[in-house]
Amino acid sequence: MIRVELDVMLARRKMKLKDLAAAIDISVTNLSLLKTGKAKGVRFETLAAICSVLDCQPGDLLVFEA
Amino acid sequence: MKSNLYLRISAGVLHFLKGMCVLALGLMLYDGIRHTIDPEFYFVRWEWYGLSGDMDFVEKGEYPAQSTFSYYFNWVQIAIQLLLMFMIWNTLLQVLRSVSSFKTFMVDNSRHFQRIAHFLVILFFLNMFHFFHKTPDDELTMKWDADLSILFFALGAYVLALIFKEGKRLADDQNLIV
Repeated sequence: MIRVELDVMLARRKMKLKDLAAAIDISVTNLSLLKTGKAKGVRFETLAAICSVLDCQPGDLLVFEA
Repeated sequence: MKSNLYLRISAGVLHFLKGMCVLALGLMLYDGIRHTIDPEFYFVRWEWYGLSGDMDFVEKGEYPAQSTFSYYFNWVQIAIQLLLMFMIWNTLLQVLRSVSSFKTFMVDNSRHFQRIAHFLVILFFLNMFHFFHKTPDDELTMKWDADLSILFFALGAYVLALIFKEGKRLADDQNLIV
C-alpha cells in the first residue's frame, strides 16, 4: 500500500494546503484527496509540480507500506 | 457537430413518441368516461391493438359490443402499456440529455437503462394475454402471444446498463486521480 506523506512535507515546509494548491494550480479538494489518501492515483505532472514547489523528491511524498 | 445533430434528431423523435403516448392516453380517458356514461359508445377500437400502434377510430354501432369486464380489462391493459411506453421514452430522453450535456458517465445512466429493461419486461408480460368478450352473442376470445422482440430489447437494455455501470465506475476512478 502506498501512503502519501504530503501533510508531513507541508509541515516541514511550513506551508498550507491552500497555498500549495494555488502554486501548482490544482483545486484544494483534489489536493485534499491526495493528502488524506483517498486518491486512487496521482499524475506525474501533478507529482512533479508538488515536488518542484516543496523542493523534494517523489520518495519524500510517497511511502510504500507492506 | 454531426453527433449533436443525431442527438437532436433522437430527442425530437422521443418527444414526438412521448406526445403520441399522451395523446393516446387522453383519447383513452375520453373513451373510458364516455363509455362509462353510455355503454354503447366506442370512440376507439381497443381490441388487441396493444403495442402495434393500430388505433382505429370507429363510428357508433360499428364496433361489436363487449362485456363491461372485457371493456375495462382491455382499457386498463392498454392504459398501463401506454404509461410504461411513456416512461420508457422519458427515461431515454434523460439519458440523451446527459449525453448532450457531456455528463454521460457522471449521471447514473446504468440505473436508467435498468429501469427501461424492467419496464420492457413488464410490457412483455402485459402484452402476452389478450381477452375479448363480445355481447350479446357471448363470444369469448382469449389468446396467448409472446412478442419476443420486446424481450430482446429488454436484454439489450440490461447489457447497456452493465456497460454504463462500468463506464461510471471508470469515471469515478478517474475523478480520484489527482
